[in-house]
Amino acid sequence: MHISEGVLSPSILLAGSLFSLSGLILGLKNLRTEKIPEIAVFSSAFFVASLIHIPIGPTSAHLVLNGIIGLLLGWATFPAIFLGLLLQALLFQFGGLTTLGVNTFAMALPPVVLGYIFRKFLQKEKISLTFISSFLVGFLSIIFSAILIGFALYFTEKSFVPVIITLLGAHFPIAIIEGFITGFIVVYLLKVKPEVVL
Amino acid sequence: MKVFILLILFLSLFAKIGLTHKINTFAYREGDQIIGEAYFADGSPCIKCKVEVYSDKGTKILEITTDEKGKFNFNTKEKGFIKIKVIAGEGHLAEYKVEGFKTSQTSKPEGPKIGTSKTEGKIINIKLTNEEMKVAIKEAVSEALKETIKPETEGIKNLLMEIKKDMDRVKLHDIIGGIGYIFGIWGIIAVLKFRKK
Repeated sequence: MHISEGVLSPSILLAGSLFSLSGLILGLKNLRTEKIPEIAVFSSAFFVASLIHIPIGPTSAHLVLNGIIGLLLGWATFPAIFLGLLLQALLFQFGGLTTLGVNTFAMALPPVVLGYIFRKFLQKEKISLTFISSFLVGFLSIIFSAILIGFALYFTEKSFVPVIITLLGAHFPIAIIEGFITGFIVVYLLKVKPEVVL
Repeated sequence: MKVFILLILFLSLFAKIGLTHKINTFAYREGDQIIGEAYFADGSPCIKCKVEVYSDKGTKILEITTDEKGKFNFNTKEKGFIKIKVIAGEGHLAEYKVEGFKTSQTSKPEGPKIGTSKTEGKIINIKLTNEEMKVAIKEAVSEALKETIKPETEGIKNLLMEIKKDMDRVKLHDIIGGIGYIFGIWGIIAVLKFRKK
């Protein structure tokens, strides 16, 4: 899910950076001070999650956890994911500094939008509805992120369909796993600490 | 909140054994041959990955794929630096630069044959000038030297490869350090926010 340095053309990199920058500004402006510890925890969870690989057939895919972050943090997802990606690029050379914008945008936008759509279905009385909508956020975030990454690659590689197919194929199983993780965490949080979710 | 901190710690434990997609490559030169290897951050080989070779000026020289062990080799007489790009798909890419081909390595002088040569069944002594003699001896000695030190250099090269692989692996202290950075930066943001209030 992390695009490396030197793959994309400069125009895509610039566009990605600008989009991410606006997301970052929005996220930091609407930041509620009491939410900050929570954001820090999710930020570091995101940072670590990319190191966990689940072997799927010949390849493996890693957790992203962007769905749950978007669902619980809203626009603060942008700074949370940006910081995680920045440190991944600096410490492990995952992705890269120039592709930071594109990667942030691709991983942060889908969960933010999906979070807005599905947040109203999270209700304490309806556990199954909560689980299903959380599952969908986790699942669809990965799928849409993969599609956005595919778009970014398309403008440079000019072979959209095969790229999208491999990306979706590689991320479909992980999307299901993420869906379940998101569902269980949200349901659990709703029981023990509802103020984080609602 | 406690649950989450526990979750992160739990995830960090996994991360130690986790694999990553991050691809690395390493190559070295032996005469006009370039030998290299491509591998993922956990050290597993990049099998059948596309390897593109570019010249100093950015023109593509050739394209090959790695074998089952993630190794590749090719011949080039490009004088400038050459850039090796390993493409693992889905936006994963690794680059490595190898020094150009030195002319001194090419200029194997067309020295005269040493000693004797057979012509029409008779053994004829070839008279060599002092200069020709020097060239011939130099060549013979360097050949012999190469043969003797080959096993040793091979060992050193393998060791270098191992060290390079180990350096590219994800380290636990980097993970913990990263988590520390994240909390620190959000802490600073929190302080700034509280000051505004």
